Amino acid sequence: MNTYIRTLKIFTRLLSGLFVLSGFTFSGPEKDISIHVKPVFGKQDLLLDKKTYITANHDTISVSKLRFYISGIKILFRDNSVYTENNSYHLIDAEEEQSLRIKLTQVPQKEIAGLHFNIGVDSLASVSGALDGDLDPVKGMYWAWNSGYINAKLEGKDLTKGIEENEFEFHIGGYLPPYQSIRQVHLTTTKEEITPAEIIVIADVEAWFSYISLKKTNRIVIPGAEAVKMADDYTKMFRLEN
Amino acid sequence: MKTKLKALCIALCAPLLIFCTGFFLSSFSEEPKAEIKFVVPKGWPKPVYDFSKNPVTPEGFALGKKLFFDPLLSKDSSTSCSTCHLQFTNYTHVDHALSHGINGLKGTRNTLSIMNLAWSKTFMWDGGVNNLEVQPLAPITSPVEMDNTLENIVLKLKRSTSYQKKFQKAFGDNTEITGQRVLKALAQFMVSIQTFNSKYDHMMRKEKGAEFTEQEKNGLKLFRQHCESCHKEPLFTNNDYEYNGLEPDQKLKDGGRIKITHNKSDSLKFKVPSLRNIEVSYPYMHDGRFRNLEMMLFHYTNGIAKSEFLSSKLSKPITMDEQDKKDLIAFLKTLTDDRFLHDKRFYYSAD
Ligand code: HEC
Ligand code: HEC
Repeated sequence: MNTYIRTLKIFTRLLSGLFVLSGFTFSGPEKDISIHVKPVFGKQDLLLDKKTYITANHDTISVSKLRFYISGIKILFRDNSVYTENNSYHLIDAEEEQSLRIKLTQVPQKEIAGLHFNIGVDSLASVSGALDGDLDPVKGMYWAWNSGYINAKLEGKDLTKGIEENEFEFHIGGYLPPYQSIRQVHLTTTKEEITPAEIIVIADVEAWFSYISLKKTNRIVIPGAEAVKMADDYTKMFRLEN
Repeated sequence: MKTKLKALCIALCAPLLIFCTGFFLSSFSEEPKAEIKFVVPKGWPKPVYDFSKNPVTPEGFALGKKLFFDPLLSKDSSTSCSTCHLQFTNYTHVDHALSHGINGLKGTRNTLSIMNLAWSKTFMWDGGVNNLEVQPLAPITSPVEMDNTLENIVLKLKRSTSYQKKFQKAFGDNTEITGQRVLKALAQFMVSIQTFNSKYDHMMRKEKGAEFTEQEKNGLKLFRQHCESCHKEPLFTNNDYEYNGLEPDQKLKDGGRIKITHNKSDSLKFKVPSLRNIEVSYPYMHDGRFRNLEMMLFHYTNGIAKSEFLSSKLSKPITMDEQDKKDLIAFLKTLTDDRFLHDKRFYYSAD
């Protein structure tokens, strides 16, 4: 009889021990959420080909293509823990509605502090030969004559009055020093909030034109100093929607 | 009784056996599986290519070969990889200084040979391509070569049930045709193009009956004295970029490596090409300016341009008398690997 009680006691202690242990690793519920990228131009939605916009340098433009890679996604929480997405490479294409929503699985439900990601892909991916999924060269984001990924593409027309209809083309990439064009983006939340089902990231194309004047530069399609500068500019296109 | 049973057994089994072997043989003759095995010849360095992510299989090789010979890869189905890379001429464009592609358009460079590429770190005359698997993107998208896109190729391949089967054989059941798999199959074929059975190789391996003539021996000595610093044995390339003193062509204005690195010190540097099978891969140099080996050698002895960019390895002039020149060329011809140039496993086959 005594031995029975003793084993029972040990058993319950073990059980509660397990509870405490699991309590350490199990920090609240987890949910699948999505990051929703919303391309805009200033205060207006981005509509490909259909709408015209005016840049900081007074160029009138329309946009026909916007594509960029988002990689290495991390969600930061107020308790300093971090959610890191594995194998995190996503091609965002303004033309493809479903590419604008990135699914993240099993994200802890905690107070979030911010979102980190890269715009572009790391140099390892650029030297690893033929990859699959969003990194498949079939996506047209891999350079043929000077290997490496195009991190971001913007194409369209310069419709400024008085000049001939003029196309512009920016294919920004390059992974070799000193012309690396991958950039980190850090966005912090302003309101106190538990991980929402959807994190909305605004991508404001106006940022591409912060300094550039299309009269002077309407084509950057190789790695180099100009691409590096443009990458610095467009990195500022992101903000979280409140 | 027992013997009767035995006889019955045999009587029953024999046809089965015959049927089975017949089946086995017929399936064998229907699809002659090329015995393809990647070899690291004795004494050679470790290959650069990462086989762990793309191991060569008979099915992958067969698919890669089919793609390599298929003009479907070009926009108007006129040009295949093998249009410019022909086995008999060491996988170069025979007798073309500058390659010709779609619509007969002329490229700006001489075709490079495809062989022993598992040891190359970078590709093309300027080293702009960093991995063998992504190299085909260059000819596929070049407006003067195949003028196509990988996306379009994948779409075309998906319409072919024969290709669908071949991709499944190579990459597993239920696999889709993707850009990645097209490129991996081509890479499996290309790394398998290996040459290491020339007279020179037989000599180096001290195989029975292999012997250099006095002339070839002297040629080897001269080669090691003047050429080895860049065309390093056993691959006959140091896998690097050098300026070997060719007078720059004023029309083509090709700066070579500097295009990729933007580094002034890389001006006029080009890939040091391997010299294996050099006898059959004329014309020579990135712009195909030399028709034969004699003209090529005249360059090294008499034609080196004065330039701040000239490789220091060529700063001391090379002097050779006519006999020496003949000997050196005789040696270069020992690098011809006839078995490789006529290896039937690499011939076009309808299926
Ligand atoms: C129109 C002729 C042409 C066609 C078609 C062509 N190539 Fe080439 N190939 C060339 C030329 C020219 C070069 C050198 C280019 C350069 O350095 O800029 C080359 C270089 C290469 C190299 C680099 C070799 C090295 O040592 O760096 C490989 C590999 C290659 N080609 C494979 C292919 C494959 C695979 C295809 C088919 C998808 C193909 N080529 C189609 C002309 C061609
Ligand atoms: C400084 C390094 C260097 C040295 C030394 C050198 N070469 Fe070269 N060689 C090169 C480079 C680089 C090329 C390609 C140049 C180009 O096309 O612009 C080349 C090209 C060649 C080619 C043409 C190959 C082809 O496929 O078109 C031959 C043949 C050749 N060299 C033979 C020799 C011989 C023989 C010697 C010795 C007498 C020699 N080389 C010494 C660097 C060197």
